[in-house]
Amino acid sequence: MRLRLALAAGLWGLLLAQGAEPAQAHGARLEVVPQAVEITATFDTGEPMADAQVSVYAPDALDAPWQSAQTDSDGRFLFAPRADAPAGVWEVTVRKAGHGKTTTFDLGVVSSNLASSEQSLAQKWLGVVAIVWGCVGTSLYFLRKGDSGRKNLDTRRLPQPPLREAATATFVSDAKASRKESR
Amino acid sequence: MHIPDGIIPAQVCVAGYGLTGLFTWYSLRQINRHGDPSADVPKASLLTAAFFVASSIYIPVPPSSVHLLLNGLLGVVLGYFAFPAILVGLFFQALIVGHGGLTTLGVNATMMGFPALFAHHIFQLRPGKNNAARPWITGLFAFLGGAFGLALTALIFIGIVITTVPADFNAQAEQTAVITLTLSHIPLAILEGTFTAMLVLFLQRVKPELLGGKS
Repeated sequence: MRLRLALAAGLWGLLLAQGAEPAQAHGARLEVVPQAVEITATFDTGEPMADAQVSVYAPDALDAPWQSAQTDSDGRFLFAPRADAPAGVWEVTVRKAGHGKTTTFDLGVVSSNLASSEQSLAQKWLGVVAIVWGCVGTSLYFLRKGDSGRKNLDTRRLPQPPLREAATATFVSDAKASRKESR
Repeated sequence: MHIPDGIIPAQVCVAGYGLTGLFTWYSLRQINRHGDPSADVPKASLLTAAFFVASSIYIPVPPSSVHLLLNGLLGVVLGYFAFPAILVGLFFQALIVGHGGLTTLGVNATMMGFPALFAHHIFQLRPGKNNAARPWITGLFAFLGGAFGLALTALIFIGIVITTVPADFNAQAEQTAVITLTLSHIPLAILEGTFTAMLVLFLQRVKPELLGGKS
């Protein structure tokens, strides 16, 4: 619908421009720039970032935005640079309620690099599973270590047996060992 | 609820790292004071995994959706272990899931870790810590810990975002958006509080020593 309206307005403008006298005060000029950079902002749930603020920065002036605007209800913003826009790496920041992202695009190249640095879903899931397994492993490791640690602690705290009993115990265990050997 | 890279100025990021260093030092010192520090590592490790996964679980709250945080729950169940657990969880979230960022790790850790310690202290205020006969009091304090942990995080989030809107952006629009987002965290706070209370009551029945009476 919006596209159709824009086309209608454009055609009307063209008619005006062609039919108008040069001296007329209400003459209209249309400049058609076929290149436009489409910026689509979504949350990682896939939900569009509607009405988010967009700032586009020129390569030679990063301290002040070249253009500020808002995304539409689909999280989209069309950036159409003027003819005097310098070529190079432009920066775009989209922000809404403390969430957002900054990325760059090259005005000389048609495709942008918006999605190139993103991980695939499979990579993400593999990472998540690896981290969770790492945590579970850490937990299991410390559980085992904790058990053996407690055992060591318990034996250290046991009162030492009197000397004679200790000697008997050694004798008995020696006898057991020799019996085992003879078998 | 995570602040991503490039949203807040560098000074705030550095301050966040400074505060996180301070809180980590304090938490580790407290952990070291009580007996065997490795005894609670299994519990802390499992809850780190839960915290790490929780941020990928979305709850639809019209008009948008919010994700679980569980920092209040970590504070209630883990005590001072919650801070290092949240720090580790946030690091992996920034690295793997893309929630938050490495430059804002300090800010996020303080934003979620400090309320977790706050939740721990709320839970420790409960009367009759080792009295299993009154589960509703334990449940109530666990609920308050879980809910206020998240609510305090939301308040710190508003404070940081509203005060650091760059001049290039419309501060008014940003404030409205932040307040809308924060209001949608009220049902989440109730949900997380309830979940914390349920978990604590379950632990109290099954393995009460996991809740511990020490602070």
